[in-house]
Amino acid sequence: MITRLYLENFRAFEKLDIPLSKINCFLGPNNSGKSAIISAINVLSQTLESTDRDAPLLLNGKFEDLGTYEDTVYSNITNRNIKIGLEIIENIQRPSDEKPSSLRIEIVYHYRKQRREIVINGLEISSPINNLLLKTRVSERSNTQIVEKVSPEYGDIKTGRSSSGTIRTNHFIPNVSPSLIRYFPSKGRRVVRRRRDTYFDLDFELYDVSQLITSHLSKVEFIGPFRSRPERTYSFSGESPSSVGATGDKCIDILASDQSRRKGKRKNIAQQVTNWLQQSEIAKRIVVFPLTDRHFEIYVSHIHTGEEVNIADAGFGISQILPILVAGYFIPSNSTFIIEEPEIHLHPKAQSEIGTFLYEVYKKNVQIFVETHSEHLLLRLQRHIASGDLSPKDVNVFYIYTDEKGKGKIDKLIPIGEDGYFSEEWPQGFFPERLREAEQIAKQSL
Amino acid sequence: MCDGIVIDGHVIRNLKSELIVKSGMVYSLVSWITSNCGIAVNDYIVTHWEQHCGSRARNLLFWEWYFDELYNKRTIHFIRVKRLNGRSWRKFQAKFKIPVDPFIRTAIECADSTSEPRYILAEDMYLYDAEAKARDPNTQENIRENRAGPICKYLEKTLNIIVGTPKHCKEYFEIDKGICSCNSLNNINCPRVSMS
Repeated sequence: MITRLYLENFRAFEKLDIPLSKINCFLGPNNSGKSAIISAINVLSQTLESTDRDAPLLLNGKFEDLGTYEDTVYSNITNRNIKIGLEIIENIQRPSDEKPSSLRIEIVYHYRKQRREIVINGLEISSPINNLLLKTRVSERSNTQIVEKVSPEYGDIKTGRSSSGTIRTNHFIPNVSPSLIRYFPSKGRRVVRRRRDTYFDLDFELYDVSQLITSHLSKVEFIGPFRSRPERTYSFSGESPSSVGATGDKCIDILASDQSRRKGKRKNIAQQVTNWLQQSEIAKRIVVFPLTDRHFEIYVSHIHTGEEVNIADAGFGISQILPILVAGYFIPSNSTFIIEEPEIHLHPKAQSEIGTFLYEVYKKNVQIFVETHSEHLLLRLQRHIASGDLSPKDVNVFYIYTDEKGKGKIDKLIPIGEDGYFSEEWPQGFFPERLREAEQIAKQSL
Repeated sequence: MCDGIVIDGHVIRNLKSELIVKSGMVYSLVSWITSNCGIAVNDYIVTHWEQHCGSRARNLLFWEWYFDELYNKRTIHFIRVKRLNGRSWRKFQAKFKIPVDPFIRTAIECADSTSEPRYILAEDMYLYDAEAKARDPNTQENIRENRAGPICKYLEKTLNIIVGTPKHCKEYFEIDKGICSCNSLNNINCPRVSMS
């Protein structure tokens, strides 16, 4: 689980440091920076999935399209370095006496204007309680990472040397250069052998680090605010995509492939989606109906009349929520689920039910990030807290807003008590518009 | 036309907890008030309620009740408040040693701006006897119950504003008897709803 996120000069934020929990909700006015927080995780995830291992930061990929460094850096000043930091704690349940593995990584990116390239200016890996493992900086000449500081147990590694590329990066994850290990002969002098062993040890440690980072950032399911339009028929080749995609375009393939599986291997996604649609009074059921060997269509039956219509003819809300539902029921445990505006085109009743849906996903030990404007969704999560289903510690609600002088974006974590109510005031009121409008209507008669 | 009764934040605080079970003395009294003559508010009184009940984020149920009464049932009325003369208010304040609490003035002004019956449903000691604020709770309770404080007496005499506790309010409007004996309420076609 990602337990903390630090940003510096990244998109809307000059500085941001937020603790994260299992369910993280980001609320606030438009253009306040909610998506910027989510995009930091997305951009690291898409970087890791890139085939170009030398790319330290992939701004335009399968999740995000952030443009250039200039577009991404705070205030568009390219001299500024972007810093992205994460604190990660292992998801796997270990025996009670064993502490779960955790780390803190901070990556500083620098932009070289002439070459128009983004390089890692420095890297720092430590434990969350600040026991430094490794700190590097970039060498201007060789463009490699130089060890600046290292944990005392690796004292044999000489620091501050720019002569050799001791540490190289695979995207942004550091490892010991294999050529360097070869450089120390195994039959050399004792000093050389000891140094070689130290490098081996560091390499093992960095391997664990890379595993922890990769396991968290490669299992990210992101669904953006724009979802693809429903189609009358879909073609199906029998493949099973691993994710629904940022626009949800693969969700129908996942539904169809799950349907075509043997009973024992099926995840029953269609049934789970049907249950949710019934609960939220949107539809009675959803049917994957084969037309030919290669084509099929999706039918939705009306909640009251039971009349079946093609998904393209059904209400738009169904096609917009479907990718989120499919992704949520399909996502494997110990993953990260990021959704932007899940409530679009939905009735308040259905918006509330998204809160219960998120609770169901949470039970699969999935970390959830939701950017929303829905009061109803939030209220349902509060209801789950009040009923004891969710612990208040597992839900973090952030209100992101710009201060009145417009000087900067402010993030505020608003804690929730055991009773489900917020224990602190909202900076600009808790969805105050409805009351304000009602008061204004009442005052019109004065 | 009755504009409504002014209700103090302390009373509203008691209503807050009774809203959950939809029963209790204050809940039934306020229900009677809303269905018969309404509640008179202005911005400051609503803020005062918020101070006592918590904001919407912390007490959603109360504010949903408020929204329902304000928008759907239209029983909470925003009043155009006539300001009291500053000089006479200061004299009044000095005479009864009322502290600089904007709510006291707003509540009196708001009640003064409503038509008959002018009633402030209050448990705030400053609307009964400001000097008794330092005395023991039992004495304060006695003053409130008997409406023995000089402030409430003065308000009734000069401005025809009655200040009373929920208990007095019930007696005054004869709610338990199932009739609304108050002449002023009869004038507004009170449906004579009894409290159940």
